[in-house]
Amino acid sequence: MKTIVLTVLFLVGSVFSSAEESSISSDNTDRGLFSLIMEFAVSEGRLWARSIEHVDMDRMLELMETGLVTFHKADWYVIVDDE
Amino acid sequence: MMSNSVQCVLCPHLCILAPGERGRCRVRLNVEGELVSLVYGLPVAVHIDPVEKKPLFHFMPGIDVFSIATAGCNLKCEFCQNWEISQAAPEDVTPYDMPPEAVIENALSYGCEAIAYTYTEPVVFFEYTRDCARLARDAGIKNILVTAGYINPGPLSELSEYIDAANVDLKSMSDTYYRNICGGTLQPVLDTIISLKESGTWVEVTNLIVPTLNDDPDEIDLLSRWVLDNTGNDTPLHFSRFFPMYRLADLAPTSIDTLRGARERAMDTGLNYVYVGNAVTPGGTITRCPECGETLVARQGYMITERNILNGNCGNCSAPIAGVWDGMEER
Repeated sequence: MKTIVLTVLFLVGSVFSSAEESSISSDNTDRGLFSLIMEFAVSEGRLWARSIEHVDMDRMLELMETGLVTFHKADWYVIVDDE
Repeated sequence: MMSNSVQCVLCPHLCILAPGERGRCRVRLNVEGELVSLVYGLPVAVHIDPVEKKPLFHFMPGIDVFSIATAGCNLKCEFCQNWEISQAAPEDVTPYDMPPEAVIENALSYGCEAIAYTYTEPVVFFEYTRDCARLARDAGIKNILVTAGYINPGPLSELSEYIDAANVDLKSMSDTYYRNICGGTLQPVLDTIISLKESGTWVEVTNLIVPTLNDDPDEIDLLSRWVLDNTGNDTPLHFSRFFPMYRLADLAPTSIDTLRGARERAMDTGLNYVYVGNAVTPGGTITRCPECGETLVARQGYMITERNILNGNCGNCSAPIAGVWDGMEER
């Protein structure tokens, strides 16, 4: 059920966001809708998915400086507001 | 108060990442409140393949495709045939340095009429795929997406503007299979197939048949019927043979009988074009006219041995044949 609601909410959210630039920024007027989506996403657990990892940032910076990874700006993300 | 956490909304995992955390795809990282791609312009696989290998059988047969992939994937399929790069973190695999302009330059220099974003999962190297695809479009090169389809509607809509053809893996019609075996969910994949079709992209669907896991005839029927009902009888469906790999190294390969039977069942549902990949089965790689039965395209492996499509129509009865047949007569 949560998955269905999440999917519907995100589809609706995408309709609103697609009229904007491709990167969703913190001044998106549909923050309320996306906050609801975030809550559902977190509460679903996702035990079946690969885990989120914490990286060694010092090592990541070294790799970036040697050209083995990039820190290229990504699109399609939102800033999480703790409030 | 801002926490510097971000939420990636590229794919249905919707990972919430604190600074220093990377998403389940392993290639998108929160650096002090900004999400970055770790693999932009850094492919780990670069090859020239025949288009039939994608597999695409109804899209410009015979062309060479400049094919690239970075490390990473947002799924973790236990049968992954490319697991050494798809399940790798970017720091564990040595990449090439190939910005988008170099991809186009290379494709042109090798005479490739298309670029494929493939092998691993182009969704996770989204920005690189999109930027290459934009330049390719400007240069008159076609863009091919080979994907598991686990992407949200917004980014898919943006990307599909530049995509001419796609092969989408439909691994099962079971959400439980997607969660337990692949680390994802089913519905977003179904939505992706429909969205791509509606956007005008040429779509072909592949199902890897894994013995004991998704080879039940009823499931084959369900999958075939879904493709028929939701995308039409002209969407090519490829059944692909599983070989022991990654976490399923102890399973036997898919039997030829299973593959042959799957193809027959799928055609019985009403699908016009059903093929078998990674195996030799009678008629499994032949394209026939759905009206008169004439052989339109015969293949040995990935090599075309016979062609009988004229201006997109059957060379025998002139029935229109679904697909993109640009330049076929000249190759």
